Amino acid sequence: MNMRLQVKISLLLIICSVLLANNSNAQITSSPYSIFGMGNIEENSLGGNKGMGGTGIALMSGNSINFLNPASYSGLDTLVSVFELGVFGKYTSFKNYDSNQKLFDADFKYLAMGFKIKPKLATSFGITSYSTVGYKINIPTTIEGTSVIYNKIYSGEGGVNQAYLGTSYRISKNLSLGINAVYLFGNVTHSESSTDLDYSLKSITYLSNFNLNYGLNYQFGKKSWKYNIGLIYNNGKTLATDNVSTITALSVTETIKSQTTSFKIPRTYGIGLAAQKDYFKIGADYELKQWKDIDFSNPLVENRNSHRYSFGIEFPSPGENKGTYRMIFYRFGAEYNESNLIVNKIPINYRSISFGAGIPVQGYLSVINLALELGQNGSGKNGLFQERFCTLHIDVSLKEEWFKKRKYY
Amino acid sequence: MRVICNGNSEKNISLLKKSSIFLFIIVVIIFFIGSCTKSNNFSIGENFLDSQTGVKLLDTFRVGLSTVILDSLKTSGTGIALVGKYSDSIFGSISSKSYFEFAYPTDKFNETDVFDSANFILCYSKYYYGDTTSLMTLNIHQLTKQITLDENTGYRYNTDSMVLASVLATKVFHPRPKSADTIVTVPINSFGEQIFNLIKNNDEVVSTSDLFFEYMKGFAITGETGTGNSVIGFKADEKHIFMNIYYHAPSNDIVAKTYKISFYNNVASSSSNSSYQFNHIHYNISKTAFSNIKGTGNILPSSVTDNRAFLQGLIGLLPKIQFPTLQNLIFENHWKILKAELVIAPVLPSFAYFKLPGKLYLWETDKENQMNSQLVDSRSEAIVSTLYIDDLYNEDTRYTFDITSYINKEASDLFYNSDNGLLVSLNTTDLISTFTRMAIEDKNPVVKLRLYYLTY
Repeated sequence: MNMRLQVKISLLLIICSVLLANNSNAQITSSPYSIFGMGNIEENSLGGNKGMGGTGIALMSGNSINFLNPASYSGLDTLVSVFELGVFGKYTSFKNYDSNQKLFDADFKYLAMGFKIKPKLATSFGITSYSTVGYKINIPTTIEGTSVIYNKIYSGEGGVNQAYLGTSYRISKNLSLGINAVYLFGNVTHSESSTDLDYSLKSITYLSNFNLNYGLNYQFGKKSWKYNIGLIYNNGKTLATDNVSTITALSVTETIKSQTTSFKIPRTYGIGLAAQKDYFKIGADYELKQWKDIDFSNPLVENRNSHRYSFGIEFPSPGENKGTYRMIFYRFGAEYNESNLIVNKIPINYRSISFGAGIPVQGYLSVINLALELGQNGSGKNGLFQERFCTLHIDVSLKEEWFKKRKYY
Repeated sequence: MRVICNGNSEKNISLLKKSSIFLFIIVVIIFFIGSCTKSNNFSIGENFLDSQTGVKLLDTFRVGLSTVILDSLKTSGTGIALVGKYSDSIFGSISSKSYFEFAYPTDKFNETDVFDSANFILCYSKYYYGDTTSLMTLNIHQLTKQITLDENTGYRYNTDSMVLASVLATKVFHPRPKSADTIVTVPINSFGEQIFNLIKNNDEVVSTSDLFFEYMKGFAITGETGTGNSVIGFKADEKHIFMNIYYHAPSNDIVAKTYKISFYNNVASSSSNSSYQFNHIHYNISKTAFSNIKGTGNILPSSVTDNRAFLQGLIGLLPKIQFPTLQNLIFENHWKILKAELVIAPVLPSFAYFKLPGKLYLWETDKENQMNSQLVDSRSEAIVSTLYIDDLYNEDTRYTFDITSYINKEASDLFYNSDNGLLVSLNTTDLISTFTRMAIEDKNPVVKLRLYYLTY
């Protein structure tokens, strides 16, 4: 490996270790809706997909990894290895019937690498999150029998991570198949505590299991316009769980009996359509997750099947940069997600629009994908609250020509 | 690197554009962060919560109160000589004598020196107890035996007394421990002349320190006779108790000279507090509510002492707190005691005349009613309660102790011995050197244990 690649890898590793060390309990999020089940379900869209409303089931990986469909890896640029790192910053305004509160959080989102093994065979591996739990709710509570009020803190953190190793093979000129072997792992902690009174009741659930994601991409069309159909599927899985509950009072911790709730990954189907001509792309996705039969054993929540609809377009900067290494890609998209949650009889739906740009930096080997997502989630009805958010996704792609370089020495 | 060159100026412009985009993003993020709700105030989502913990106050827990009396208190080497007597109806009558020795004098007189006079000098320690406006009669006695220390402990105790020889000197005076007066002078001419002659003549009894101690033995200061109703404290050390012999040498110019015999701060054992000086306390409690405390194993429950418990230094009267139903808590599941507060209220008339102790401490005890070990918190610091005075209504004056660690320790044993308890005491210095007193109320209000407990 040459010097520059080494520098890049070290830089990447430093950034990752700092981010992971900051936050050993997987990713954080700030949403009281993440209190239920495994938390907020994160979509698999990375990098450039984010700017297109999370669309990409039918899109092939090009100069960045498309994790939505494992069949896409075979589209990675030949003889190029891709490192990707994603972070985000999210500003959310929470509004219920009587107040409006705001939070900002920022965190590491994913790390992935992909490259071609052979012209028709490609691989990708990395780590990203399947779900995240993050909330901290402060409730002034009275000591029974007195008028003394103390601050009781309900908090949750953790989530389920997915470490994956995927491969994709181009069977024919038109058809690619792919599969991800996914190791799901993580922990979800819910606690009730008071720093004033020095106690905490904590329940940590450790989760893990293997799962497989399947993908297919079929391309057809004439010379100028090309069309793609993408299909994804995973069979769902029950995660192995282990719960540890502890009570800590006056700095003495004691393990108490705990109930183990089962956590399940729902069976998932997805279909995507895309059309492209030159550097212009347009796509749409539909994804179904069969949550309906999964019980969170929470009287407030009823699960339903989740439906995600999205579409997005990508077009290059016009003018003389078009076709050169300095070409900027602009993206636009929208997403509507009927999530699995029905809380207090109110369905929790997510909608957002996004604007993105893929900006080449430092020559033509690296790209920064920026996406600004504006949207809302939930509803202020029935004692619930609505979240309005603005998320900035920053995904850095570092590319290196591994094999090509060798020829120059 | 292969560069498709379109001209440098254009490249610079695009770089400038890119950096402005990043700068803009950073400014926007900072603005957003600045406008956020503090995470300690965030409260949305309340109705998703299913509370599993609660904190409650239990203050009806039964607390047993009684008074114990210690067999004895070490009074040697406290640095204070207490002299006088006091009596009232609540605590009975007390009197104190102080015992001490003089050091062996090594200086000599000339054969021609002439004795003039001699004084015994005492210096106020500024401590007093009772009514100092009355006249006090102070007597100085010689002892019939030398002072010895307890063979086992090396101390002398409040209960120790010695036989006194007849009075060597007496002074009747108005004690002014609070005023600018710092000393009390007691003329002791005949005894002083006796000593003067022995030294001047190089008598055998002053030839060695052993013979001198055997001859002088020791002294006691008493204040029992007369009508006085107070105890006065004098500093008991080499610099503050002494005898001055005034003399002169016959010559044309008579020059008055002073010969000083000092207090002997003998350190007989390795303990630095050991000294031959000690105070003997005599008390008569026959007319008090706790008169028969000695006959009942040195303990009386408050129910037979007018719903009160009593504390007094130097006597060794201490209130004992017990938790007879603590055993019941041990078997409670899903309970944690987060805080245990002991609240005691002084009987108001008990401080109309005497100042209440500013701070109180607790000692662990058992059925032997001894001060076993001082109660400390998790950082090993003594648990102390500072007097809270309700100036406004005079109704809520109290002492509050945080005894969480004690209650949790006792409750963590599977078996709780209800003979165990806590003794309420002064600090260790005041306990053995002052008559500080207090009565604790056990009816209105009762002694309370406030338990803040967590259920889960």
